[in-house]
Amino acid sequence: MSWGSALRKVRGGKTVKVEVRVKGGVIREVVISGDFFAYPPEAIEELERALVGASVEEVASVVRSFKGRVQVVGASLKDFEELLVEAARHAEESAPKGEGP
Amino acid sequence: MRWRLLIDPGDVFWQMAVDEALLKLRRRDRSPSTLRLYIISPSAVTIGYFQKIREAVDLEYAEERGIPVVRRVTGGGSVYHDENGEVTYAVIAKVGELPADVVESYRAICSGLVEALKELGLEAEFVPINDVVVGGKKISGSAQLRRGDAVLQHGTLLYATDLETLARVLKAPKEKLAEKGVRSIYERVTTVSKELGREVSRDEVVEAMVKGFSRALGVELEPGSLTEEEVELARRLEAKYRSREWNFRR
Repeated sequence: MSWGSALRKVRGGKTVKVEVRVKGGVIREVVISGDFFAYPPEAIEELERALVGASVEEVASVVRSFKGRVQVVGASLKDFEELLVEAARHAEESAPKGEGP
Repeated sequence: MRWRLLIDPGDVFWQMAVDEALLKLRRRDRSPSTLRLYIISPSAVTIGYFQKIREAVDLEYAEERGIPVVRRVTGGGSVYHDENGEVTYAVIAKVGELPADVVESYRAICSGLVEALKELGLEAEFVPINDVVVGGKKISGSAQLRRGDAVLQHGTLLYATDLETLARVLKAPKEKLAEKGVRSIYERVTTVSKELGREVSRDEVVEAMVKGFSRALGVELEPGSLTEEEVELARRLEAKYRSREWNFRR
C-alpha cells in the first residue's frame, strides 16, 4: 500500500496536485488540491469520494461521469483524469514488492 | 441601479464570515447586491478552498509573526492581506446582474479594479482568469463562488503591501515560478505605491475603488450597514473560520 502523487501547472491556468493511495490496484484515498476553481466546489469532494474503491482502470470513467456536474475553471476534468492515472502509477511503482491485494 | 456600499473593519475570521453570510442571504433575497471594501486587521493569510494549507503557507513563520491563516470558501490561491497595504473587496450580487460566462463575469467585476487603478493614475489590465496586472506584474487577484443564482467575488488590491513578508509567508509552487521564468517576488508582484513612486494612502485607494466599481458595474453605491440578520448569520459562520477542522481540511 503506498501513496503516489502527480502535479501539473495547467498552461494559462492553475496548479493541480493529485495524491492517491493505492492498494492492490484499488484506490483507497484521493486528495485533489490546488488553486483552481470549481462550480460547485463540493463536486470535487464528491469526485474524491467516488474514486475511492475504484480500480486504476476505472479512473477515467469515474472522472468522465462528472461531466456536466461540475465546471472546473483554470484546469479541466481531463487534467484531473491524467493526473490521477499518473499518481496511481507512481503509487504502484513505489509499492513494496510482493505486496498482494 | 443602486447597490449597498459597506466599508467596515474586522479580523479575517469575521470578514470571511460576512462575505459568506451575504452570499447566502443574497441567494434568498434577504440581502441587497453589495460592494464591500474592507481591511483585514490584524494582517492575515487566506488560502483557496482546494489548497493544502501546509503547501500554500509557511505556518511556522505565520505563527511566529502572529499572522492568522484561514481557508476561504472560494477557490484560487493564497493571499497575504497586509493591514497597512491592502484593501479587500467583495461583490455580492445575482448572477443575472453579471455576464453568465464565468471568466467574463470575472472580467466585469475586475473592471472595477482596472477603473480604480486608472483613477489613481495607473494603466492596468485584466488577465484571465482572475488577475489584474500593471506593467506585467500582479497587483490584484480575485476568487469567485456561485450558490444558486447568487455570486460572491472577493479579491485584493495591493497598495503598499510589504512584499518581503508576502514572499516569506506564502509558498509558491515551484512549477508556477518556473513557467513564468522569473524568480523574485519583486518581478512578479507590485503595489500601487511602487508603481506611482509615492506613498498612497488607504483612503485614497478606497475612494478610487468606490468610483471604479461604480463606473465599471454601472451602479450607484449607497453607503449602508449590515442588517441584524446578516450579523447573526456571520456570527454563526465565524466559528467555522476559526476551526482547525475547516482550515486544515486539506
